[in-house]
Amino acid sequence: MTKAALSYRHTHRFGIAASAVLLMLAAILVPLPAQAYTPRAHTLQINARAFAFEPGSLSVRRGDTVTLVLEATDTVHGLYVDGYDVNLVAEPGKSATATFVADKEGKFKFRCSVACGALHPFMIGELNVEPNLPFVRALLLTLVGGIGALAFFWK
Amino acid sequence: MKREWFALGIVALLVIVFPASLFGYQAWRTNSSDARVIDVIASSPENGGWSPDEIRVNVGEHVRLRIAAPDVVHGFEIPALDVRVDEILPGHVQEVEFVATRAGRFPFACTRWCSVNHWRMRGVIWVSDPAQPALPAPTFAPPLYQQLRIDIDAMHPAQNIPPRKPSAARGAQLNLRVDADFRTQSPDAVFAKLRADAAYDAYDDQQLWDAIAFAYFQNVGAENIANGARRYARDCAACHGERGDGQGPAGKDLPGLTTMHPDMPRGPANFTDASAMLGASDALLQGKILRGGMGTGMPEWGSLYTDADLWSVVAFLRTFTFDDPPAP
Repeated sequence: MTKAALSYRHTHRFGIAASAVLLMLAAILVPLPAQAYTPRAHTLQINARAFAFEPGSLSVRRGDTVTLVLEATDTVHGLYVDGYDVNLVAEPGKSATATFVADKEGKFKFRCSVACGALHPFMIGELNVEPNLPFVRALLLTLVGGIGALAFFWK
Repeated sequence: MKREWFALGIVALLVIVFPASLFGYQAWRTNSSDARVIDVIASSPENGGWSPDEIRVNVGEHVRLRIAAPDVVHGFEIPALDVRVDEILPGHVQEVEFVATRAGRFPFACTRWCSVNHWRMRGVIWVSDPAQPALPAPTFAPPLYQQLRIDIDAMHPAQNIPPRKPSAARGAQLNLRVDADFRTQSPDAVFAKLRADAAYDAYDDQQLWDAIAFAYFQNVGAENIANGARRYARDCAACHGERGDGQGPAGKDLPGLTTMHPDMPRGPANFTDASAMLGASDALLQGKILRGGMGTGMPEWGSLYTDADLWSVVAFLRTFTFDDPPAP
């Protein structure tokens, strides 16, 4: 292999690495086009029993005002949402209500906050605040990184 | 060599000093007070309920109960001795101290909805007087519904139904005097008596109902209604529903529903049903709460509630058919 070929290959690889890093930065930082959307108010009824939430998955859009109504059917259950300041405790005949604005997008787990039996740690549901930009960005990041790595190590 | 001793010291600290201080502290706490410590485990009835479910103490004895709940949230109450713990969380030991001042046999119960069989979670505390070993004879008067010979298992539909839901606020503006014994007479009977009286001819049906609602609430008082509301939320709402419509989550799958008499409305009573509620006197409602049963598996509250508590729950039940109860 000649020196010139080596040097060419070197710069070539540098170019690939640099453009991949730039694209990855772009995937993290570039503001995605905001769609025109008027936030709505939701009242979501959640039924808690051993050891599940029904429905176990909620979907709202960013900016929506969410009112959670937690109803327990067998014993004392709680609900707290990771990432939001919401903590409810309900028992049969005493439902609990909390209202908050879903201002952070992404997927958030909600869990039972009161020990309710053997499988209590597995009593989990999820709140999906769309558009799930962190997910889109992470997907782009992985794709660009993967393709970049592939191009970088090709041959 | 020095480091070896140092390491040995750490091991000794972990293995001997730390556990010794923990247990020593517990022993010191137990022995330094004159209280008798009784450990109680609260589990759901299907896991054994109270353990022990019989507690024996003496009059004047200083008792400390240490209550632990291994499965779910429970509560503890000895109504007769005014001892209560609202929340026993799994993983926490709740302590409550009391001195029993009178001898007797008193029930205690769980106050938080811990399973479908929550209401079965009861126990008994015997308070004996060493100077007087025989328990005092219980003073017993038959409840009002028995004295009046009311059949609390039969339907008592109202003959007159108000055009609109009666309102105490509208009734207050009428300045109408209603003299009636609401304990023994149903609102329907009171209405029929007023309607038959020529002195009330100037008022229409709705106005008479409003006046009855106002008079009823004046009679029972705001404090009783507030006490009833607290008890209803704690003990009744799980089956009868927060809005009194009989649609509570725990009442949907009761063991007795399949064997209920076909002529009776099924499931927990609906307190927003004007016909059933206005046709029932307070004595009848009190009897139902006191005895329970009804074929649905409703618990009996006579052993846990005082007479005043029972009447206050009845007073609160009226707020589902009469609007604008007085604020406490």
